[in-house]
Amino acid sequence: MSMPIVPMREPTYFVLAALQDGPLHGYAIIKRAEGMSHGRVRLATGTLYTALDRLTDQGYVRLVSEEIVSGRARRSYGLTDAGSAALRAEATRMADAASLVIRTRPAASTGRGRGASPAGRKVRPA
Amino acid sequence: MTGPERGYRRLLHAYPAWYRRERGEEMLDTLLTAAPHGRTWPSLRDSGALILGGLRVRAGQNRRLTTAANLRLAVLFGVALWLTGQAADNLALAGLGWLHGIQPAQYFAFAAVRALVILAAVGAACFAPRPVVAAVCLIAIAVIVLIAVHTYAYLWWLLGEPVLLAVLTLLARGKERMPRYWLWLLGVELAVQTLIWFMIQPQFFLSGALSDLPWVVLAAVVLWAVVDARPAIAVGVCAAMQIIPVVTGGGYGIQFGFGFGTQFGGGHGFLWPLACVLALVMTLRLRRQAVL
Repeated sequence: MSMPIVPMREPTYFVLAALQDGPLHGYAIIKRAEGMSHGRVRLATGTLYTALDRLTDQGYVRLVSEEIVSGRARRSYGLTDAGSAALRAEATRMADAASLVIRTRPAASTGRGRGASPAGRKVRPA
Repeated sequence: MTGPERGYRRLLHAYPAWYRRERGEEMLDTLLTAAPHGRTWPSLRDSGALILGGLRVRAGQNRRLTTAANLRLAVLFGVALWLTGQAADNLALAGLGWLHGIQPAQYFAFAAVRALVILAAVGAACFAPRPVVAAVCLIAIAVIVLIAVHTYAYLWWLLGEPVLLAVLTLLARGKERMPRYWLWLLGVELAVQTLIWFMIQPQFFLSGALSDLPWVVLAAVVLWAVVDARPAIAVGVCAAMQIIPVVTGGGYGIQFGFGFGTQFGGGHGFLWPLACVLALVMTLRLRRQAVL
């Protein structure tokens, strides 16, 4: 399975990330993704199933089990090896991109303009 | 059945029946579990996502194709639209010749044959297996070249349609097929581009409606790009290709498909750059839709 050549969209990333600890059903994926993203990614049900269709087609996600709850099918989905690899590749890509900023520019040097302090010096509060 | 369940079931009708059979109950379970206690009606957010998701499934856009595969299908459809426009022109020519008894009758019979072989090639590209597409296109190319040589036609007639039939064959070689729901556009193109020739007769009862139809088609494909940008790319490609007869010495002036050319008499040059911009913008939109 080939790696994605374009960055994943955030919802896709969090859907895959939600599944990394084990299979989950639809509602659990929504809640896990919301929790992991600190509430930033709130998947609507329609969006989730569109994503699951695509990810299944891509071979990143597979149907793991199916049970009947209150007369309705409840299916659990899990990551495939290709899905895990794609998730790790995306995480590495983002970590590399983040490290460019975090490693070379410590927090104290991010101020702008003439008042910005050089890296490593303490800034006296006004 | 509770209030939100009834609402969600109604909204799930945005999805095709086969999808509802496969996923409907599972989605309903998730929707009802996620709905806050006491809610009596689906939220606006859920409603929007379900409608858009359903339309995407209907458009075949819930399945991931690469941008290249999507673009190939869109361009294939654009070429098919353009060829359908050519077939319609020939069909109208044959009809007018027959209607008014213009001589030589052989000339109009040739036009009818050209129209039929082109339509057969387009039909094959839509429905037939790949070897059949290649065979039908080869026959169509041979017939058109023979007619063009026999009637001392424009160089454009000799080259244009055969070249694009060859392009149609090449593009139809891929694994993925054009979705069936696109095909209504081919029907509209055929109908409009044929009937538009009869509009020069003022008593023609459809004149008014036909003159607005190209804009309706354009608006429809641009709006549909929210779900699927490929038909808009196809219309853009089809319209952009209308420059080919002009630069290769065709006798029609600028034709934009869907009757645009006749409507504006070739005087509205802005339509060509507009077609190119449409195709480009929609290709960018397609890239977003193809991303995971």
